[in-house]
Amino acid sequence: MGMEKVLIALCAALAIGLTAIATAWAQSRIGAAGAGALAEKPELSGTIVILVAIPETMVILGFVIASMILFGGK
Amino acid sequence: MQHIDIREFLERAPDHGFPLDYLLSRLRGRRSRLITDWGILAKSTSPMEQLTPGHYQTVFGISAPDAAWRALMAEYRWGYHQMNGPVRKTFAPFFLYGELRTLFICLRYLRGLMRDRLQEILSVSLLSVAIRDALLRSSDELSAAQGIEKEFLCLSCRFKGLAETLRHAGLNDFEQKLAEIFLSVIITTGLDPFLKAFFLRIIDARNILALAKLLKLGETLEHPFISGGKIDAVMLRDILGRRDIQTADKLVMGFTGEKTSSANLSGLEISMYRGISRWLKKKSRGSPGTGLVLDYLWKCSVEAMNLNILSYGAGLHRDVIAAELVR
Amino acid sequence: MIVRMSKIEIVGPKDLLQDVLNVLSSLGIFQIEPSSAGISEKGQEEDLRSFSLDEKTLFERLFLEDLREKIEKLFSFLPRIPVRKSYLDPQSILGTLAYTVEKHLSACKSLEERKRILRRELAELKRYSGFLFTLEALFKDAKAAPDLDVIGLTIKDPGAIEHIEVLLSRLTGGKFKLFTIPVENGALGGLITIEKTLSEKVSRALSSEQIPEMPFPESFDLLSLTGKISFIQQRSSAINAEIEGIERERQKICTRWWPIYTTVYAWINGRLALLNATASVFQTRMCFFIHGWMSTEDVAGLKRRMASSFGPLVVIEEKEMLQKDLDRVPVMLKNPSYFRPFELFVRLLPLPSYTSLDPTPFIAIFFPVFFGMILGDAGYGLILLVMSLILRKRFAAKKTLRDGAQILLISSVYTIFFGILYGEFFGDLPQRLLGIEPLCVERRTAIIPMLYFTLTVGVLHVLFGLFLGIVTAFKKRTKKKALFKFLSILLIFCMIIILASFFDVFPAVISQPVIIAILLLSPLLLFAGGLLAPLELLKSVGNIISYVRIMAIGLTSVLLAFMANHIAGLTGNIVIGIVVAGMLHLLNIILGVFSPTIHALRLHYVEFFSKFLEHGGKEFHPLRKGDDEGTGSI
Repeated sequence: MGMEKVLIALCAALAIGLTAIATAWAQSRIGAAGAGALAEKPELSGTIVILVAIPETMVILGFVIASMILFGGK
Repeated sequence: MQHIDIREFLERAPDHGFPLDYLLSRLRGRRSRLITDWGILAKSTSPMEQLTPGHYQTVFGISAPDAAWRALMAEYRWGYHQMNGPVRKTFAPFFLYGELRTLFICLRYLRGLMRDRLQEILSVSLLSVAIRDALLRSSDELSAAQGIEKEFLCLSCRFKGLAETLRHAGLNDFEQKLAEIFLSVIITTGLDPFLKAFFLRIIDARNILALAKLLKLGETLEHPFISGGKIDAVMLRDILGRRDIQTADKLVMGFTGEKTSSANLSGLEISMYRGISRWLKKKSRGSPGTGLVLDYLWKCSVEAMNLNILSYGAGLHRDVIAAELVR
Repeated sequence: MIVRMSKIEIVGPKDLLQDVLNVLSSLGIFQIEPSSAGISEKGQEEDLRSFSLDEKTLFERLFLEDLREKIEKLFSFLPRIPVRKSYLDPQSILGTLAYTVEKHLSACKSLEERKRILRRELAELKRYSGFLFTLEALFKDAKAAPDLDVIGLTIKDPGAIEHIEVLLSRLTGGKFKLFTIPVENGALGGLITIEKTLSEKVSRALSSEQIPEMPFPESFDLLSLTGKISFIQQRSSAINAEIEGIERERQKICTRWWPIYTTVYAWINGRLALLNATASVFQTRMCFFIHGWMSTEDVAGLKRRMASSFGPLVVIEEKEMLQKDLDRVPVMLKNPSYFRPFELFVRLLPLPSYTSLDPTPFIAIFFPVFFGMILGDAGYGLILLVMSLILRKRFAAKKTLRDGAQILLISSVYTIFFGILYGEFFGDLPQRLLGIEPLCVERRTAIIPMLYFTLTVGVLHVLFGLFLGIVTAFKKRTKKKALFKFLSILLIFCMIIILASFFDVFPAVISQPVIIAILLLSPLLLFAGGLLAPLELLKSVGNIISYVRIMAIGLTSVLLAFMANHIAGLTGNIVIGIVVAGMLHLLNIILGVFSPTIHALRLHYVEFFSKFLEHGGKEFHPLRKGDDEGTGSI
């Protein structure tokens, strides 16, 4: 029983941890490119906020999965 | 082979550590501002006034005769400053190759006794403090050339005797020799593969042009072609010896992908440039980092060249100008 | 709302053109369309020519452009200090100013140059003094004799030190001392102290070894070490005094002349705008034609004004808006005062196209709600409310900041509202101290219910976006697109029903007919949306899940607040506890302003707007007297 709990917790941690790393990696690259684009064309600020924000969905999905694992949807 | 950091020959600038993505994104933004429609400018009677205000070339005003080149140097300098250490290391040979022109201009000014212009030229240059000092402290072109030779000797012993060339054969030969030795040395310094391919192409282009010139002049004397290019120097000497114009034309065709006669020298030069542009465009797709940066830097230099033609050729017939532009 | 525009043509006799333009620019409600294509009727185009300026006006334009450039240059030299306003009539002093501006420019330039030189000298002196001070300290210990000399060096390669030491000991027989200090560029600064008699020898040896000596200024040569130090101090303070003098001089020019130049600058801008507008006007032999755009509701007013000024000579005609004009119509946003501050968020993106919808009202309604849902703490809400009121009062004159404060104010009200529902006041204080249970739900523990709640919010918001998409598609008469959006809504509904029956919310029997419905609708979807339609639909589903962030970000905020109170409780001391909790809550409030804003905005920009908004509108720039933009833009 104890082992099972550990595994569940580990899976939840993996679900959110891996997606967080993926998001961070994507945002770092988009952020760098966005800063460059912004320096050349300041009028793009809104578009770049969107672009930087897009990968966040990954970690949110990871969060949903993790909470499903931990608290059980069903 | 010795692996010398070419950055030593260039100005020491603080490394801000900007990521490559940042640089690429900025270059993409700037690329969209480069002039693409040369047709309209070539037809216009006052082309320099038609540049859009956002264009970087307008920074120096349009009246100065060397504005286009100085703007190019300033743009290169800007680019170099935006790069992080490793990227700088990759591109330093390209920048130094570009700065050879600054050296030549300075030597000319020294010969023309216009020392006061040196500071102005060097203010936008990327050259290292040592080289600049060598130029600024000299009173004539010969001592400057000696200074340059001394600096370049760190790179290779092949630069030895450069200043002698200036004394015996004059400035033109000195310039040509410096560029040729530089090219043949630089490809042995452990370049990034993409840059190496680029320099090999430059060597080939210079060799083909030299060949075409000699063929046209009817001379068959031994010419020291730059070694190390993709097209073997022995083969070039062979063609020259046999005065084999057909094979020369074939070489041109193979290099530029265009049907240009090797006898039409100015047309040949332009199609060489076009050939390199096309090659870079194609290759840079496969290498989104280095390729894109090099493509941009090259495009800038082609643009500066064209603007130079436009501003110097103000009095010429429009069709003549249009034919001279690299598009 | 995107204001309804009218296409207008103004016709009148040529000699009235400048007067008409004057009236138009003083009203500031009319934008001139510079291209005639599509506006003038067919066959008429050949008779119309662009209005060319006569020689005198052309000369005036060149003169003004030149003067403007010079003034701009002058502005770049002057410091920005608050100054009074000038009430001189700009037109009467133009000639004088054209003369004085040259004088001021050259004065400013030479001041700037002198300052640069002084700064450089100062920096150099600092470098020496760094050396000398270290040296002085060393000398004090050693009680050195005055017959010592000092040689400064720049050592590029730290590895060369050893080499230098060997050289020196050979030359001086070991009677020397070498100190090194790192200077800029990774090089080392070295200082050699030797007997005076040896100094020349060493100097020569060093230069033949190509180690650059760091030369002291010439005025240094005859001074002893302490003399050098006091000389540096004297010279530095003299330089500082001179720099201050230069600053005072600049400020003097600034206080006296800046107001006059700004007034003239604004006037020139207005005048040039008018002259440039003339270039966009068309003419026949006798008449001028002005084409342009203005908001439909202002047309009657303009007609009245023109009639009163020029009588029947100038005619204003409203032309029919054609399909091809729609891309060129400038966009003006006009919203009720409650919504208006939220235009700030809309303007971060490119403007919506004229045929699209203005998203301001929607963002004004939903943004504060989302913000409140995420932060959801009555205590934090109260603090933000007070803060926004202060900000609004303090920055009443600055539009962007005032709008921001207004948005924060509305959002904080919702924060308080949701805080009451969640039973949060600085975290779980009510429960902890008073034992009050949350009204609705306790976010910290009810994770799954909150997840369902936010998903529901997502479904509603995205479906509403799709509905607006149908509306805009109809407005643009693209029925296929409307059908696609409609089918997307239906399919999302079906999927929700299947999911709900899977989780036993609905009886499982329902799912079968729904699956059949999905199968029937799918080919239609492919027909309406093309091959990428399933991907679009999947994206919508992803968008809905993205709303879970409302709960996720909220959860972190709650937990941080909870931990603040918990740690405060652990300290066991009321004062320390309050300080600790206060610090952590403060941190949470700062986070609580930024992260809900960014995430609520993102939900609008990415998830909501993509369902209906089309960008690409051009902003409405009416011809206007330049006084309000001129001074602001420098």
